Formats: sequence, structure tokens, C-alpha cells
Amino acid sequence: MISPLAIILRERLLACPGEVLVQMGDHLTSDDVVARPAAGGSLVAMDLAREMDIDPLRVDRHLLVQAGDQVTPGALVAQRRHWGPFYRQVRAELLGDVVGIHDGSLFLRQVGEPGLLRAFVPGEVVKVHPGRGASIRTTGAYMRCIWGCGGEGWGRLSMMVDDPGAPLTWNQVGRRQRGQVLVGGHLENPRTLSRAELFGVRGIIAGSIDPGLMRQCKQLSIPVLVTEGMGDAPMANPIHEMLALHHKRWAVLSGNCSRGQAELIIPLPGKADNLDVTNPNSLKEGCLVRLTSPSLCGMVAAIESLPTERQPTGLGYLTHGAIVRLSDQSSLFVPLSNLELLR
Amino acid sequence: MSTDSSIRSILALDIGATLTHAALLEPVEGAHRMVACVNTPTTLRPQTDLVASLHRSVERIQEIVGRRLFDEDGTPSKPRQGQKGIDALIVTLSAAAPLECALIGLTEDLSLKSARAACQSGHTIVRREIILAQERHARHRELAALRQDPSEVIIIAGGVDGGPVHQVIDAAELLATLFADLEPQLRPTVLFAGNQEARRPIAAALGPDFGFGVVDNVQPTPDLSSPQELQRELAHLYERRKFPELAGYDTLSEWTSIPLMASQTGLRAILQFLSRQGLYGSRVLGLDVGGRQTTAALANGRLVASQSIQVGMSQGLEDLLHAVDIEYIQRWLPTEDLTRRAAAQLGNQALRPQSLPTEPDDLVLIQAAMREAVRLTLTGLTLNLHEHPRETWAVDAIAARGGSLLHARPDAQATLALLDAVQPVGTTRLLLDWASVWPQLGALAQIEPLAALQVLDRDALLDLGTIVSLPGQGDTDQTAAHLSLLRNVGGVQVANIDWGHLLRLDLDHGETAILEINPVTGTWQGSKETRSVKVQGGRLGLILDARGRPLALPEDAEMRRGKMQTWTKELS
Repeated sequence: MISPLAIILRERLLACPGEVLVQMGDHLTSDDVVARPAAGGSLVAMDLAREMDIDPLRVDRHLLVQAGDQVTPGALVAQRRHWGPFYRQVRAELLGDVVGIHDGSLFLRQVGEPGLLRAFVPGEVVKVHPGRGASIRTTGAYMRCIWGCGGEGWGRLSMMVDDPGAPLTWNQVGRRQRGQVLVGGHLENPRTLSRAELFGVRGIIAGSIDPGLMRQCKQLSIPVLVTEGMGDAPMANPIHEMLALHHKRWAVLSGNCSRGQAELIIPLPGKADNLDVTNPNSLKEGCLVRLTSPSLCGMVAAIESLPTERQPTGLGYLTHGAIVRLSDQSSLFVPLSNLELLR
Repeated sequence: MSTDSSIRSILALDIGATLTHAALLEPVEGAHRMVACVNTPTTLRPQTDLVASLHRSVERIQEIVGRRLFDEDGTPSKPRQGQKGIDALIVTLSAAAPLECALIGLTEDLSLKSARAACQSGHTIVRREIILAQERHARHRELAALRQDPSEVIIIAGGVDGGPVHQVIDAAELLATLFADLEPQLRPTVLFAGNQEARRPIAAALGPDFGFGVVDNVQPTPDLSSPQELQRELAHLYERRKFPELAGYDTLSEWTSIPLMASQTGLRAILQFLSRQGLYGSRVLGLDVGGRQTTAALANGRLVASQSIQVGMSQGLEDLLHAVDIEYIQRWLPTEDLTRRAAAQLGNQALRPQSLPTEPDDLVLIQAAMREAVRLTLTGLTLNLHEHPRETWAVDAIAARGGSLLHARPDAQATLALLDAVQPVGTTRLLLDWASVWPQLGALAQIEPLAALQVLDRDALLDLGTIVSLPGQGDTDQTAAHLSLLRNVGGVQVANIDWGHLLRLDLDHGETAILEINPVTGTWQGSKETRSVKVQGGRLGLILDARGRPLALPEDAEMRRGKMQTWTKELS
């Protein structure tokens, strides 16, 4: 689903309570920190008993910290006299809060960068959610993708192919693409993905992807978005055209597919009327749609008519649907469940 | 049969992860019958919405029956008055995501195994397992990871009754330490299903800020596994915690005549009923191939065991493709073109779960995937039955349901898929929930058992027929047996069946007959004398399977595809 210009509102909320660092009316960039969790870092178990070579029951008497203390890297957390003037000492390896001591182990929660919630969408803070985060509003082009992975990223859009069906090849990805969001028609080579990560590419958008690459994609640290699906379907023309229009513009993308939020936002100046991009308008004659029938997936067609009566499918059952016109001018009946509105 | 109940017009819905199935049940000539049924997409965007899904189905049902069931404001018009309204609304749900659990057990082979069996009911998914009988630091590291990525439920199992308790108490104390900084409402619920003597100390260790529950020890003695109460508690927890997360739950709860029930619970009730009724035999294998998960359950008077796996035919396809190699699915495909397209097409079906199959090839592919989902689930079921994994099943009836079986216009396709997946031995009846109404009938039985029974008997069971699998092996295309079908209405039908083939014989729906099998060639289990089997016809008449057990597919891809085409033709 695409929208050339829309008002986009995004809630940026911490998973657990924390401190909100922005105020109403603030104008944020993607990198700005909206909130930081109260206890967001990773939890580390330090085996003090083993380090000091004593019974876990005797660790308590050698402790130099207690639950609630904060320790810095290198700080002494426990020691015992070993022999003569020599001590067995245990030092913290990271900045963290002592969560507790149990059965000879000290549990430390890391304090620092991990868990910081950044703005992602550059725009204005229109609501602050105390202890949780903020709502940010921006205006721009919007596209929801069918699949994504790799979290969030942002950078300048770079059209790598003129043909929406052309693959993004490994030799198109190098040092020059550092910091960019690359757009290709099709992903088929694992080397393209590994080079993108290696050279600091900030994200990839493709029409389709070879199913064999999905696993590799999920291990990447950069977002990968797919507009059409699995296989070798070309990127739908309206999408390719919209992305080409914004070549070199700043774009933010989220591959977080589990929440149904695999999406691309291209912030743009100007006013928009469409307040709700998540609810596409109902289908009408003339609309451009993507076919999602298992065997036709990825084809783009225009709606010719919307019969009120149910029609038979190739399997014989009756269902509501639309008569669509394909690019070769042939017409076809497609169930409503197998149509996605493009525009 | 007639019904005196004041509940006459019943709307029964099952809201699934992909589709919502609705049926209108009303008295016709003194007995409840299914007067209309529809399948509509469940409203999933921007989130699963129960009321919107219900309204979609109701609109379609109203169109079909030509009268209004709901008021203009979208609320059910209850009770029915004249031509308007319904008397009862029954809803079962499988749209909710399963509870995410972590298992903590003393040992892998006893307590963890039993606790795991309790989690196979379809309401839970085990995200993490921690064995306490391991090196101290590794144990601490794994327990710390529980805090890092909390599950919704932590199940502590361990210790036979009367055995040592210190390790499970120690684990509870550590959990209390690790979760001390988390608000009580964000903490996981802890269920203890271990040594009874540890109950109080564990409750004391966790303190009042944890949701804490106690159930029977899943391993009270080394020889006895008792997962049932934990299973029941998880089902309750699932309904209490996961149902309210769905949009529209509160509204729907006010409208329904009984509390919303998990679809699996309703389905189990039906399986047990079919088994006890004995009309199709007592040993009934239930199969539910859903969009998100696949369930197999064996009933023999009561429910003996069940197994649910988070693989399915829409949202669950991605998990299926992770769980089995694509080649396993491809081996069931009859053409090279379909084999080449399989991975991408199934991947796309997973991305667009509500897309409907529209061409025969779409269905062939999804049923190939279904075979593997069922095979995987049945392997788990054998483990729950404490048996070695096997590929064949000796059951009296297979009772199957699922969207992937619904669009199979020639029922032969669905039958072949089930035959390949289950590989029944002996004589087996094949029953289909063609209207997707069994879970709702299981729920309805709580308040109107007679109505549920009437609809099940008359409208909700599609009897595809009797399958007779020849108990032996032989050279392909050699005559396996001479067959004589002595029909009760008179007349004898004679035929031959070859090894490696299927054969359909005409036998009218409900008609009984005696099938005489005279072995000719091959190796037969038992004696090689003529054997007689009592059979009953179904929608496909009588089906004989001489492909051997376990089913061996040719190694050569071309030959294998040829076989698949032949078997499809033989059943069509």
C-alpha cells in the first residue's frame, strides 16, 4: 500500500517504563533519543564463587557491593585474602547496576546505550507518554511492505536499477553505497546482502526476494524490505516510480514485520490531507491493485468492475471479487481476498 | 427427535487466525439443523478484531437466510422474535496467539518431559527450557536470560513427591531476585507443577508480587507422568490472558451465551464424543490443520493424547518451512513446474495468509504442505504416547478439519492428502468437518447437548468413505489381490488391485457391504488366506490402498511425479 503524501503519526514507546527525554513541540531527527529504559541493559551473571574459588555459601562475607549499587568497569565487587599479601579479586567488566547476589553469583544489569529509544521518524513531538515515550508526526510519502526484517534504519534513497524487475547485483554494492538505502528490483544473490552489511549500507528495498535468502536476511543488522513477495516478481511499477521520484531523498525504514510494520517513510515538506494511511480506501473501479492469488502473486492490474454477485473461481467455489484488467489487456476474476490496493 | 428448549435459533462462530467460520443452527422438522454456514476472512488489520470478524460473517449469513439476526446498531437481536434475531450466540476462538512459556525442570528425562507434554495442547508455545541439574553458573546464566526476555508463564516442574526440594526452591528464590525491579503486573505468572513439599517454600520465596499457581505434580513418581492438571490450568490461563488481548473481546463476552471457549477445547469434546458414540469405531484420530497451528489428538473413549505444533497453512507456513526442508514438501508435487515454484509460492501464502487458492495447482501445493504439517504433528503425538516415532496409524476413523481441505472440490484430493500424511493401516473411516463447525458444536454441547448432537449427526460430518489398506508389500503393478464386494442391497462387484496403486469402488453413501480380499502375490502380514472386511460407503464410495506401509515414494523425481499423477487420477 502506498501513499504519495500523507500525515504519518507514530508512537514511539518503550517496552518497559523509563525516562522520556523529549517535550511537546520538539522537532526531532531520526537519531534523536526519545526515551531510555529504567532497566534496559542486558543482565549478566558473574560467578563470584568460582572466581574466588570458594563455596557459594561463603561468598557473602567477601562482597564489596550490594543490591542497588552501581559499579563502573574495573570496580572491585568482591575479594578474599588468598595467601599472604595476595588477594583473589573480582572486578566488574561493565557499567551496571547490581540486581542481586544469589548462590555465589552476582547479577549485574548493564547501564548504557542498549535499549535507547530513538525517534526513527523525523518530525514534531505531538504527545508525550509519561514514562514510556512520545508520539511523533511527520508528513511524507508512505509505503507498507509485505515483508521486512532487520529492525530500523535511515539514509538516502538510492535507485540502483532502472528496470523494476532487474536484480540488485553484488557488484553494485560497494564503499560508495555507505549510508544509503538501496532500491533494487529483485534480490537473488547472498553476496549482495553480505556486501551491503560490510560496506555500511543503511537498508535495502526490493520488489522480491529469493526464498532461500530469508534466513540470511534475518541475521543482518540492516533492514531489508520487500514490496511484492517471494520469488522473482518485479517491483510494482507505481512503487518503483514513487521511489524513483524520491531518489536521493532521506528515507526511514522499519523491517519490523512481526508487528505488521514493515514500512518506508520518506519525510517531505508540505501539507497532506490523508490522516490515516493504515486504512486503505475501499476498492473502486479504476483502482490499481496487486494480485496476491498464490499463482499470480505480484502481478499488477486495474479494476474493471466489481460484480455484486458472487462469481466462481477456478476451483469452482463462489466468492465476491473484482474483474481486473492485466497488463496484456486480458480480464480475469479475482477474489477480494486476493487483491491489495496500490492506489 | 424434538427439542423443548427455549434456545432455538443459534449462531455459532469459530474465529480463527485466518478465517471466521459461522453457522446458523435452527430447528427444522423437530430437530436442530445447520441452515446456513459461511467462511469469511478474520479481520486482521490493523489488529485481530473479533467484533468486526463476527459482523462480516453475520452479514453473509443474513444474506443467505434473508432475515436479520443483528440489530441496526450491530448488536445481536436476542431472543429471536418472529423473523428477526437469534436465541443464543456461541463463539470459539483460535485467533489468539499462544501463551509463551518457559519450562524449568530438574531433569530432561522426567520432569521436563512431562511438563513439555502438558504444553502440547495448542494453547502454549515453549520458548525456553532450563534444566536445573546442570553446572551452577550455566544454570544462573539461563535463569538470568529469563529476566532479560521474559515469557508470559514460567512453569517450574521438578522433583517426585517426597524427593529433594532445594533446587526448585533455589530457582524460585533467584527468580524473585531477578524480577524484583519489575512492576508486579509486568512479571510472568509462575506455575508450580513439582514436588508437593516445595509448594509453600516456593510461594514464600516468590512473595506476593508474582502471579503464582500450584497444580498437581507432573511427575509424582519416577514411573508416573501426570500432565493433565497443568494442561487444564494452561488452558484457563490462555483464555484469561490471551483472549482479552484481542480487540472486541469485552463486547463479544457480553453477547455470548457461554464464556468464549478455545477452539481446541470444543474440538476435543467432539472427538471424545465421536469416540464414545462408536459409530465410526472407538479409536479416533483427530486432525486440525489450522492457519497457525496443526493439532493431532487421539481419542479412545477419552482423549488419550494430543499434540499441537505451531505450523499451519497460512501464518504458520513460515514456521513449517523452517521446520521441514522444502524437498519434503516438493516430493508430493505432481509436476516439475509446481516443484520449481513451491518455495516462493508457499512463502507468498505465508505473507498473505488470507489469499484464497483459486486454481487446482494452488490447492495441490497447499495440500503437499499439509501432508508435512500433519506428519510432523503425528511424530510429536507418538512421543506423547510414549511410543517410538512411526509413519503408520491403526485407527478406526480419521476426523479431519482445516481450511486447506475445504476448497478441495474433488474430495479425492483431500482424501489422498490425508492418506499420504497419516498412512492408516487396516480399515479406517474418513470424516471431514466440511462446514468448520466442530469446535462450536463442542462448545454448544455445554448448554444444548441435544442440538449439538443433532447437527453433528445430520449436517456436520462429511463421511468420505472407508479406506482399506492392504497389509503387505509387493512388486509394483503385480496383482495384489482379487476383490469381491458383496453389497447388502444385492449384487457382487469384482475387481483386481495391483501393488503400488489405489482403487475406488462404487458403494453408495451409508450402504454397507462385505469386502472379500483374496491375496494373489506379494508378502502379506498374517496368513495369505481370503479375508473379509465389513465396509460402509461414503462420498467417495470405498477406497483400497495397495501402496504398502510405510509408503515408499520412488527416489527418482520423474517417477515420483508420475506416481503422484497416477494416484490422483485413481482417486478422482
